Amino acid sequence: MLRKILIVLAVLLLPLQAWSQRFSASIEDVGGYYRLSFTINASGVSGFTPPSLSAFEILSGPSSYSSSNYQMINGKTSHSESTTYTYVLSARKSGHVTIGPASISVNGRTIRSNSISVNVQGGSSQGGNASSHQSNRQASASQQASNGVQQAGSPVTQRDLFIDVTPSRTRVKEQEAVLLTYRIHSRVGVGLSNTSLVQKPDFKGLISQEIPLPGNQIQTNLEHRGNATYRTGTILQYVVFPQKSGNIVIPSITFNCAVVQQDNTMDLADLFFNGGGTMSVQVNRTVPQITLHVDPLPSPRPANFSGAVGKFSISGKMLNPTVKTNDVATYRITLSGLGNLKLITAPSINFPKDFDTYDAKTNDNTKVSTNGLHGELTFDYTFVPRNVGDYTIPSVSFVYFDTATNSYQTLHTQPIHLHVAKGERSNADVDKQLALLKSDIRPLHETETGSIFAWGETGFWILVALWFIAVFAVWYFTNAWNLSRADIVGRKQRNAGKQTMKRLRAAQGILSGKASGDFHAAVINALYGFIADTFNIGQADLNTESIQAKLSERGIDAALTDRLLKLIETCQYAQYAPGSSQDKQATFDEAVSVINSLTHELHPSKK
Amino acid sequence: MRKSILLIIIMSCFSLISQAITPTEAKQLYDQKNYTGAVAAYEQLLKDSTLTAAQQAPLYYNYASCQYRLHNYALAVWGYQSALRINPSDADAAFNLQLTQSKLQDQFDEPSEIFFFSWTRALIRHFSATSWGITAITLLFLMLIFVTGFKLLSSIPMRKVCFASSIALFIVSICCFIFAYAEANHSFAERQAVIMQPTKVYDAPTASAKPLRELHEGVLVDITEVQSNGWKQLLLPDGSSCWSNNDASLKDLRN
Repeated sequence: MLRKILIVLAVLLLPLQAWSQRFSASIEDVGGYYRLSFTINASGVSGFTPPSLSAFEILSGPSSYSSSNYQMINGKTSHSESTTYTYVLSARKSGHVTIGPASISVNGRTIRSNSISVNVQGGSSQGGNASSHQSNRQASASQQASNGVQQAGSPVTQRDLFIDVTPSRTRVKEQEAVLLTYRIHSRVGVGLSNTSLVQKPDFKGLISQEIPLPGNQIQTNLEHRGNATYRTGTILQYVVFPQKSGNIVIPSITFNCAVVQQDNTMDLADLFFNGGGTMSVQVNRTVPQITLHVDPLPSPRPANFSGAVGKFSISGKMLNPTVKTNDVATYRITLSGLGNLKLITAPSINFPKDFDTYDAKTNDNTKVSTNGLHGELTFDYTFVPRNVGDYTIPSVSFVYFDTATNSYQTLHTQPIHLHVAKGERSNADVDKQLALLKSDIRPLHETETGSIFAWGETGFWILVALWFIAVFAVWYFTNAWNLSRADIVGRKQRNAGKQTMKRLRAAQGILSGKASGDFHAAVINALYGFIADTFNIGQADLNTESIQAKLSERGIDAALTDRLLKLIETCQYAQYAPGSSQDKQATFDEAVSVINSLTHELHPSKK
Repeated sequence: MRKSILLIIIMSCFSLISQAITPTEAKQLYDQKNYTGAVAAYEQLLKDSTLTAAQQAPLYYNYASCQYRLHNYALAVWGYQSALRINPSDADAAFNLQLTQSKLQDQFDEPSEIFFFSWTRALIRHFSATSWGITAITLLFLMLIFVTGFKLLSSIPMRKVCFASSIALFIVSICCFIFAYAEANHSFAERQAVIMQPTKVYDAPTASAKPLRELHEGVLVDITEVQSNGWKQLLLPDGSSCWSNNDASLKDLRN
């Protein structure tokens, strides 16, 4: 099956192969335009030179298209390639035109195509009447080969790009809508990319309303003007309502247009970053001012004329089906139609005297369209009936000028009969509701990035972890504080040995003559200091009895106690009867020995 | 040819970037009075599943404000209530909800007393999970001060006071943690819904039930019971109950 298809394909494609290296030209009519194509059945083509196409306007082209065919026939592979260059042309004039041969080089050999003759229909008749002041004014503008997109540096002339304004009518009645349409015309080949208003126009004596473009996009159509083809699109539309009679000038406004031009001098990096070898040129286009002739509305105007001009209808209804005393009730008047709806103010209503009435609230449900404003306005009249009874909301009349019949018309609403029943609400309730009715919603909230301390977020669990750390810290430090406060005695005892050693060293210094002072007094000082620190008693309380009592309390050997007391006695005695230096040395050794023994007895663990 | 491919690639990159709308852009749309666009923007923002509840709350609020401007009061009620369920202490949302509800066709009197849910539930629902959590941690740190006092003071009565306070604060703090957890997981949240289109409600969940009244769009109801045959018991804002089997007219609150 597959093989059969392949064979059929091969047979179909065989003629192509046979015409190898043929360069052919063809032209076909595609709805007023002409598609001119040159096809070469060869690979390695270069240097395509088109013939002169002066009888045509080139709308696009040349665009080249290459195709390759691989064929497999009974295991043999063959390959063919073809390239087609295509133009889309529009004829400048009707008549018989001959297109000369194009040339191309294939592997260094130049091949020429056939020349073709064709009867063309000039396109200029289509848009020839759409004359425009700009295009005529700049008749001598440079005529450039609009070959694809303009080349960079070429000027954008008034002929290439202009904007004009068309009012829907120039003679209107006061308050009657006029549609202003601003259209841009860019010659095919001018790569218009964007337009923007330089400044919002200041319409004096007019009320204006911009009509948004559908989809915010400019839709363009092709249009012939003179012997050029333009893309034309609406870029801005206003509905304006003249506020006074006489001649009103629509001011001249300026647009800023960005035109994209081809730039072949860019390198590859520029191509990438600046969007494909194009550059943007800014040009300003000014639309000239136009004048509207505004006729006054016919006199005399009715006394209660509302100022509305157009075609309207009116209706009134109660929003609350039943009304009780101290209820906040709403009577709504709906005005719908076509005309200067934005300018209409709420008609005044004479509510019954017993009602507390409030300012009418206007809701605007109008849309601006090419015919002016249409839609509906609603006026909500809020009132509070205070007493039980039967009341009537009177008919409301509305006078407007009807543009269709050219006359003033009066509309009426139906009067409404109300029965107010006894309600249960207090005045405070009503005031609260009225306050709510008058208020508006609060502004939007800033969207937060989300607090990291929110429940379930990392920050939250860090706080929890911090607390646990704090628990341990509090526990540890309070314990340590209590310990250190409880152990001032212990600290003295621990320091006792150190202090005693210091004092003994002082005594030794005196003994060896290195320092002056009373040797015996120093020894007594060392001994007393040791006992006072160790047993936590003041030096003033130290005497033979207290020392004996403390030592025996701690279970110190009586012999050692005796030695200590004897030593103290000796020293006290010696203070007043100085002995030899041998005695002093013996006393010192004895003091060291006694203190060592005492320390051993008191702290058996410390060796 | 290469150029145009390049252009397409570059343009598609830009379009990808521009698809992700930011809250600032949504707010700009609102400021420009393009409420339809803003609604779409907030809807898209709310689709982000990585958002925390705290981040969703202002989006619901702003979404509701856009719907209010478009006079879609039912959806505004839905949005404000969604925001309030995340952050019950949001005064703006509460006010706007009240204002929106005042514009609805169905007006209800306040129930004379809160009999339908316990005070603990009301208390838990009154604060957000984060508020409860931060309160719990604050209490725990406060407790540490009393623990320190207990450990360091020498006066026995003072130590007793410190000890009792520490224990009390610890218990209260644990309660706050539980509330935060419950609130975050909506353990106590009523299932709520907003009526989106006129709905007839009945006195019993049967086909032969008597119609009680018709509810209009924007009424916020609690769904207290769902039966297997599709009937739902609704608790109206005035505290009365009714049944409905019109599932399509109810828009459930997501959170």
